[in-house]
Amino acid sequence: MNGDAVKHLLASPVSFLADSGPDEDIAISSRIRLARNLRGYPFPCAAAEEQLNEVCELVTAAADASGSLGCPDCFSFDMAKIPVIDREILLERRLASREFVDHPQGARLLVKSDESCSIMINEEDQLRIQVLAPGFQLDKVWKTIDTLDDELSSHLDYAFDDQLGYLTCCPTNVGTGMRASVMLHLPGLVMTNKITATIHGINKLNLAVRGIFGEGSDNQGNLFQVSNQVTLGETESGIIESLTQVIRQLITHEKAARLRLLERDQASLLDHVGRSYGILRHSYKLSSKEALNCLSGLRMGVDMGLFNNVDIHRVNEMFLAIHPAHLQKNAGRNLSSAERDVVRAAYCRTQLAK
Amino acid sequence: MLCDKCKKKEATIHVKKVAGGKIESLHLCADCAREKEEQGVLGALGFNLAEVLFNLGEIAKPRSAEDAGGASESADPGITCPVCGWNTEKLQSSNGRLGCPECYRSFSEIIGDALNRIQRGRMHIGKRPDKTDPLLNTAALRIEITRTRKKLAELVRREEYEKAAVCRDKLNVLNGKLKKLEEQEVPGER
Repeated sequence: MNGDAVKHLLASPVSFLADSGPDEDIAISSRIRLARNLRGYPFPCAAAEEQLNEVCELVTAAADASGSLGCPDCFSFDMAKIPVIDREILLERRLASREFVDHPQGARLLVKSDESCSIMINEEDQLRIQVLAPGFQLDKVWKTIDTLDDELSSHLDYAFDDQLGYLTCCPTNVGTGMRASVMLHLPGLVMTNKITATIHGINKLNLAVRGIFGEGSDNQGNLFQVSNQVTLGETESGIIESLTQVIRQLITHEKAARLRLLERDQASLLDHVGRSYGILRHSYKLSSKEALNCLSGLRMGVDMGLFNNVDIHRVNEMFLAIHPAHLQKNAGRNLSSAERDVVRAAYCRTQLAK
Repeated sequence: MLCDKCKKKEATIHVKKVAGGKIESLHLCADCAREKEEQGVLGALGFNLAEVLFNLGEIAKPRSAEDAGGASESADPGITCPVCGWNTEKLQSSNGRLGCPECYRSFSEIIGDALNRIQRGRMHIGKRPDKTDPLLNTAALRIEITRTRKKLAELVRREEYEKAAVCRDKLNVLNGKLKKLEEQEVPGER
């Protein structure tokens, strides 16, 4: 069943990449995660195997009973029972975190078939509920996750304190237990050398800026994830509102930077976009880093209306499909790094020949 | 003492590492410490989130103990959670994680200090699982009223009068709630 489920995920379009959303030219996706734990159980880092299993069963039963994540519209993955390559697929699709993939014992992932909702059971916290949507729409994402959380909490006894709010394994998440983030594509700010000052400014507002795969990853493909840091002392809607204001400004700055490039240095901009397309369309060996950077150039060209034969959602999906686990799963075998570069180039050529 | 990194804000996090007989010191403000942790810089130096968050352990003594010549006194020696058995050592080795919900009470003193540095307040004013109004106590209400008042002033300054009117109505509701709660409360409490 699990193997079939991974195949199903690979065969279906990922809703947050394939569907249209507000401001999708710059904001790729919006995500909110809620950390929750159950009263009377230790956090996963201190729990025995039996307790982890009990939590898995309790949460799965609650999810089954919920309207948002119930069967038959949902897949379940026992992380210790699926092959490493499948775990990596779930990581690349942003359904699982690196920590979750590296510590599979007693961990279970529940995923809605369109991948818009998921729950990591026994990650750092017992529940990490996630909702992802295309473009910039944190308010809508909040409504969806708030409803799912309410449905789950009617079946589960959450660990909650009147003063501290939802109790989480790490005090950096206590309170709302909420991390809201938006994935932004900011090549204009990078090319005009404004990105460092921008990140510095965002950090001052108690917001975090990270690379594509969260903590520790750099800004490959000019993709940046902006999220809240503070979880206690503010309401969820207050946090979302402040984050939304900052993201709106970032989108405006990015648009202005692109226009400035077009006005002042049109040849360099067109050259960058054209070379990116050329490499993706005609090369026979492509490293992951080069592919991501070229896809960033191509995406900017598509956003600015410089290509009319390439769809932005196809570029979004290419951002995902060029990662190592996806390449290997689609090829049906393990590939060395050198082999992956060849397969990646072939995939990009095929996509752009369509 | 000013932060070693930004040289602007007061350093509130002091980390010391002893390696090969050499002592490395790092004095950071909360913002720069968080940034360094995100970049994995602290980890690479052998520091971990627990030390940054809680000023924990032998290699991360509070400055007062160090200044007083205290040699091996740790910030919180020997606290153990009676429910799950989690202790200060595990808090440090697990990168600042707690063992169970009850640990918040067991380690309340050091967690309180950490929350003051990393969070915006000490009172949860967001959603509640029982779906009751989150603003059910005067402290939480006052925080929200201050915030709403600031927002109203900002909206008026920007001449966004429609939004300001909504904000003013919200402020009136909040003030009404506060007045009602204060009348209900026994004098001397909270």
